[in-house]
Amino acid sequence: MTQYAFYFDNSRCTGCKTCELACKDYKDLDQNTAYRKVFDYEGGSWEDKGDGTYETTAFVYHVSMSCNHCDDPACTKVCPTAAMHKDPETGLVSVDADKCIGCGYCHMACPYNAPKVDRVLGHSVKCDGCAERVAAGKNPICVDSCPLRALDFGTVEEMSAKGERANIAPLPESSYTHPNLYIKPCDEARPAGSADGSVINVKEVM
Amino acid sequence: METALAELPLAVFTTLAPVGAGAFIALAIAFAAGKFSDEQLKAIDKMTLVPFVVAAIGFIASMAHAANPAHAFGIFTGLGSSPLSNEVCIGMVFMLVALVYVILALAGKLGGARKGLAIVVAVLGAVFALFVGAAYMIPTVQSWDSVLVPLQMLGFALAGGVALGALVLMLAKVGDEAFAPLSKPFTYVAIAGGVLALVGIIGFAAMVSGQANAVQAGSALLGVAAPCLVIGTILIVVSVVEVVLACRKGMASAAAIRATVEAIVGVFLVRLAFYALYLSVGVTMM
Repeated sequence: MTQYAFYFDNSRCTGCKTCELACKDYKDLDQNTAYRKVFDYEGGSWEDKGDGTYETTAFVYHVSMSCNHCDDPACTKVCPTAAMHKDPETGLVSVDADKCIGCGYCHMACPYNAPKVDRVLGHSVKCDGCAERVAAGKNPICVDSCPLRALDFGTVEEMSAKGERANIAPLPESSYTHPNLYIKPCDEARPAGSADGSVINVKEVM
Repeated sequence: METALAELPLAVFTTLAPVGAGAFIALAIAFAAGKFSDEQLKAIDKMTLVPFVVAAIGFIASMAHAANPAHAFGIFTGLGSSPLSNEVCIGMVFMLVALVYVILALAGKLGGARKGLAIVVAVLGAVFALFVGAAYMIPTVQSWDSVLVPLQMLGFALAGGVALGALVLMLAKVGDEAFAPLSKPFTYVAIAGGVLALVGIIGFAAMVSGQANAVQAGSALLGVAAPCLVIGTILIVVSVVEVVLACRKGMASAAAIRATVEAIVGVFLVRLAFYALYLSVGVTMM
């Protein structure tokens, strides 16, 4: 089995969301659905230095994320019909629409907000890692669309050599699901679980 | 509370199914502790349909939650691995055995099997209630991953179940004399249910208030859900008090109806608040 993984260079991302829109365009997603999302994480304030001056501790950075095709996916573990499954050849996680009942249990369990139920289609929908492009030897569309080359895709061996396993805020500790997302953090990046900041574009990414 | 309203079918299911199951626990206690004439047993058997229909309405409501119920038979695939499959499978076993009980009751053929079968249905009902709660114990959902959730659910089943069970007996026109031996056990079970529900709700709320992720703070969620949670909890307590007082003074139809309605509305409000208090370990919002 070849486990595929994403790489994200957090120090390069400007939060332009080209990846998100390229995915929406390629997958022909509706207004309310995005398989890749860019989280704007902000925090800090002004601190009184006590000498009549103030110093800012404000920071902001962006995290582009889709399904992380985890080693231990929370979505497949709770799925009652095994519709949500991990491909034994590529490790990519996808939905079998012929089995899915659209209960939304996968959405509740995934800490990365990857699957959601499309009630019109009658099943869960999510990033499948552009499985058909990968099979044809191409990258997922989000990776090829990034103007800053902040995204990459390849085998877990290649991607893990470039960064650390999804370990920055606003993401949860990687120990929950062992995501196949490897990140090179920017200087401002806070560790996973940090309470220093918060996601400020909530309506956009939910 | 938008989250809670989106989960309305699940709130109906997790209210009616455990309360309906709990009524079978009350009936098993009634047959174990009480003495009924053949006439009274016949009348009780007819009314046994009431808790079954209450639980069945819950199950039907749960189907409305799924975007594609046509694939529902596949749910057995996840037995043993998916907590939802476990919950539904235990629920189906409970409903099937309860249905057999109800059919035999309506046909007047329970005979000597009454006590034994009632106990089996009651045990399955209690296990089902626990599994309804356990289905929400997902490690990646920090606010729900607690044993307090199934404990709450067992509390709802016992407190609401005794009220509904008493209503079944009142509808069957069981008199004071026949109800007298049930007063103590019904009082104890109602109080046990109320205590479990209270401990579960207060512990759960205290836990959520201290939790947060990068998207939401538990304290903020609690602020929004508090009216539902508080009114629901008060109604459950009022229902238990109503049952306890009625058991002391002599159970009456009016008291049983009030207690049942209070319990069902109370549990429903607490369940709505429960869904509003979803808090992932990550960045997911419901």
